[in-house]
Amino acid sequence: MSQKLSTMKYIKNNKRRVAVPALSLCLCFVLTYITGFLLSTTEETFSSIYIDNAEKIQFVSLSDETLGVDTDLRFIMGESMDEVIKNRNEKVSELGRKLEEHEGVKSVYLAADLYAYVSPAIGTGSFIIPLVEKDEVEDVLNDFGTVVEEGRLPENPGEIVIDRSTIRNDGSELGGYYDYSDYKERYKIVGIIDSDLYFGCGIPAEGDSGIKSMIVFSDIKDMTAELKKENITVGSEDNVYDYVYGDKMIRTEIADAINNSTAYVYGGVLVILTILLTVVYTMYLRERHNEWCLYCSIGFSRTSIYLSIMRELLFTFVAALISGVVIAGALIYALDLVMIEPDGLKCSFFDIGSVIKILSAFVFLVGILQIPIRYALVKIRTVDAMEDDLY
Amino acid sequence: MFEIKNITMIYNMEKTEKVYALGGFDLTLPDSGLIGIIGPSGSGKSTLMYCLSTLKKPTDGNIIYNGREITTLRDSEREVLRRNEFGFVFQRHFLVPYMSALDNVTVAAADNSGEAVEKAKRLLEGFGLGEREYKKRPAQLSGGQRQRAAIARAMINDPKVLFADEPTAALDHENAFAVMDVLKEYSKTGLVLVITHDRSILKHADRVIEMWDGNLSSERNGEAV
Repeated sequence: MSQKLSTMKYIKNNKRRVAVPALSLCLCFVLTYITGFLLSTTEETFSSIYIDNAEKIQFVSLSDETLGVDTDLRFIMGESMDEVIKNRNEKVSELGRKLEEHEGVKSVYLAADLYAYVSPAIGTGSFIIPLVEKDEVEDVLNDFGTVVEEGRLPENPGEIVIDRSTIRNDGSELGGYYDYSDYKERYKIVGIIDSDLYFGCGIPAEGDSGIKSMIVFSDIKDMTAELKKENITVGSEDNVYDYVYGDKMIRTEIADAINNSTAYVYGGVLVILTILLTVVYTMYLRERHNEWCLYCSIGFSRTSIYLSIMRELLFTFVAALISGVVIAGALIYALDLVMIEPDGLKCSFFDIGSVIKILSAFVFLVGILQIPIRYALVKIRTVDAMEDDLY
Repeated sequence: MFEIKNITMIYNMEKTEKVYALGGFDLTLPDSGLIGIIGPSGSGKSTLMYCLSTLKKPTDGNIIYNGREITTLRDSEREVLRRNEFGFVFQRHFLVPYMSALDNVTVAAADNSGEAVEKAKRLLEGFGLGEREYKKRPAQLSGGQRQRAAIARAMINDPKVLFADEPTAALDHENAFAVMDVLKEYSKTGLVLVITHDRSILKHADRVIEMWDGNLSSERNGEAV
């Protein structure tokens, strides 16, 4: 007689009984993955803003003190505000020229800054749209590796071009104004650029303060260290948005917050699932006690009974995983269609973190269920012992 | 086939009042034939069957099966023996409730090939369970049909020894004799041990062993019964 007990006989004859736990597991897997996916839109969006952009372009805004501009003294000396700004910009320009000589630096522009905002599921991220001279706009776009794909280049003060995702997230449109509350009807969108990254460029609006900062196109990750080479020590009043800043921002401000909240959701789901599954599974094992006593009596070993139980269990889990992949895939596709893409957010369809969590839950649950299985196996007796109990 | 020497089975070994289920007797059983074991409740019939089929280990004595001592076998060896050489019909049918009658027979089959299914169908039809019945679950079958399905399961692997504990208990006389005819036919090639209270079904037995208080009280052929 074969040592292997058929697994399919139970599954074939108990489709509903197998389907209920499989579906419950499937829904938990889907819930875990979708939660991870939705939260990943926040992480991916912020990562695109703070990391991906910073690998191409760095923003350096230094205070008067760092630049060595004594504003108070100049006021005393009777200089006008315009002269102060002009002198300040000259210092920035001079520093820019020096930086252009550094290895890895492609170009440096003096630019005013327009803050653009992107709001994913949690929080709001911001990036800087450099506002440069009219004849520099195309160069900036070229250095960023993009072109205008719809509309035209900015030609007049207050005109900008911007990527499609930022427009979608803001709810503005080509020909309209970049509608973030701080800039109501100040910056007109005259073009949409072809970019997977959040980016834009434009010409300062009328009445702009004229204070310039620097945008640096380079592959330098630590701009603070690079500035040090020019004897510039970045202080708390200065803003340097580079890869180091972005990486720190993502790790400490965003990833940690998201990971903490998902850990609670995931832990809660797992605890409830473990309790429910153990109770239901113990009842199920009890129901099949006589069947296994029969198998043991006619010569099947406890090992072969255990293996058949495990095959049934793994079948249930694998069925749950496969259905989970299909359902989660369909949900993600739908969410991307109605929420992610229209909102101009970034996402990762394959979230390795969630996959690891689901597979860990899979292993954990199979491990926990070994306790009732082990107990059920110990309780198996041959028919003679069962007959003895009757008398 | 079986050579039994001084077989003793004592229950409640640890207690002062011991129960001798088998009192220490010798018995030899042939390779084939229909052997009936009768006796009142508590006479040790089932205990003898369980000892011969390796489900129980006797307290003392030897059981030689085909020249091999089986009382000292390891658990795994006893399982292999039960799986490969013995067939069982228990007092309670022990059919698996969620399986059809046909699946209940094939669950014990050496393989789940189409051949085993065809054989199971033939066996069930031989016991009067047609296509309509063998698709039914045990709860949808009568007591007699369940018992016949259990006998078919015991015979699916052509065992060398078929142990049947009250195989006709749930059957009317007509069905009981029909089952005994099948067992008699089977006994031409293998050994069939039938434990029963019903002497009338043993009229075609090759030997009838009567037990009393854990000992053999008499032995005769079936017609004498």
